[in-house]
Amino acid sequence: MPAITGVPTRFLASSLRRTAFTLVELLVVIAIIGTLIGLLLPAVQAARESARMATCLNKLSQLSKGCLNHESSRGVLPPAFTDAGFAAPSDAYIGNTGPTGLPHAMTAPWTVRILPFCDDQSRYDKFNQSAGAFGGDFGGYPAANRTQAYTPNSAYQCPSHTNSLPTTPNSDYFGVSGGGQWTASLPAGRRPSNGFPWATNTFGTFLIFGNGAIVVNGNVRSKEFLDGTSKQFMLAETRYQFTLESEQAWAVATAGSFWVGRVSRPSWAGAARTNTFVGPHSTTGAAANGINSSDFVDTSRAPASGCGTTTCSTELMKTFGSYHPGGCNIAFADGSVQFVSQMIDINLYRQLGSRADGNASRYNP
Amino acid sequence: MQVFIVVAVLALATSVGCQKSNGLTPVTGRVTFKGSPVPMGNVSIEPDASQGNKGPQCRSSIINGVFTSRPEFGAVSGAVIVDVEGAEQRAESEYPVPLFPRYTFKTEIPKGKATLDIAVPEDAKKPKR
Repeated sequence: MPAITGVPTRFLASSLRRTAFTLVELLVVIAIIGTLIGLLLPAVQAARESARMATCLNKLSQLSKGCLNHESSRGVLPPAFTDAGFAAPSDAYIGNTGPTGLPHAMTAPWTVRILPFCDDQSRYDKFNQSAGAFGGDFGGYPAANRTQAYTPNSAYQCPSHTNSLPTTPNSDYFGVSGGGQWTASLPAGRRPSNGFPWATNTFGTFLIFGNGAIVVNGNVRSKEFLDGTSKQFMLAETRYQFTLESEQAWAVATAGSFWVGRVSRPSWAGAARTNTFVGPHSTTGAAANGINSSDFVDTSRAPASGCGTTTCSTELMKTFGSYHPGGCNIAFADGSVQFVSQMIDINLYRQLGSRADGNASRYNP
Repeated sequence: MQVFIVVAVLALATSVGCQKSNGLTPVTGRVTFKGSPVPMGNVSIEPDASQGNKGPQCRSSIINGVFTSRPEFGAVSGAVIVDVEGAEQRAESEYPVPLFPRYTFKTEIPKGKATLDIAVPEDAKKPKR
């Protein structure tokens, strides 16, 4: 009898063990699955970011092709814009007090000039090329071009930049107007009067580089890149153009000043200074400070307190960078686009920004 | 059972602690002018190319007399050139007013961690207006 009763009991016990997991087994399985997901999720996010980076790289590539087609067709690379009040582009550096008298007769920026060469002739035709100032300063864009300037253009927006929205007319791609240190090597007599390229207190004192590829009043040809077109920056990515209207921030409380409360809104079609001291012109930058070197974080708008912090400066607006991890995309003058690491040697970076510096160093990632 | 736990622990251990170091030195320090802290400005630390040093630029804001490099942007070790800009906000001016012209000096940054206290000399002339 015991033999008979013992069999079902053992059978029952062993079948229970086989059909169910213990708590520890379950926990271990969950831990392993959790670990695997933990390993996988960052990889998925990285894959998505690399897809966005490829999109960005392609956009920059299209723009650089547009610039090179402009050269094939017109003989010169597109100028940043033209303005008779500025010094000649042959200057390695231009630190001038700007033309006196307003408005400035600034012509279309490079971003508008290359539109016909980027298969966007219709948008180009909507701009009134003879309307004068394309600039964002002192009353904003002329009425004839204001609507177009404030119409967003996704060709100039990087998908990784979360503040670049279908509603913001900003640009994430700047022409490279030159390279070098901001003030150290300025020719005597061309230093800004107060020793700073930023924080000027007098109208119109600012510094722009003229030794690069996309230059004010520029008539630069590829053959001028004596170091080689593959060693010359032409266009670069930025994340430092404010994306929102910032006239509130710039409304100066100086009663009687002619620019109180004037609109100063960044645009992909901006030619001129977005403000006297914020950026000499809003669609070019310079290889002066390193990639992503500004610690200014919220790029959606200027600090509410006006220019109360030094990060809000001309230098800031002229710096290149991106939200891609570790660097930014840069188009070279030969039409190639590379991701350039922010760990690049700062002096090599500056040499790559300036044409004909006599230094034929190449960027080797 | 123990095998499962060992595997899980190993998987966790290998997934954690794989962070790369970029070999740069985090730098922090105080900036003073005439004995008082500089309210705002910039400190830029660059490799001294004349000494054969290479690397990225380390650019940090001065906030209330103190600057601290960002985690991903330390300074290169070795011979460096330091540029200091300082300014203060005054009631009568919309813009920060420079306290002294850009002050440049050369120094050495050690490996690891560094503290760089900068006393801007008083004979650094006030910029002309």
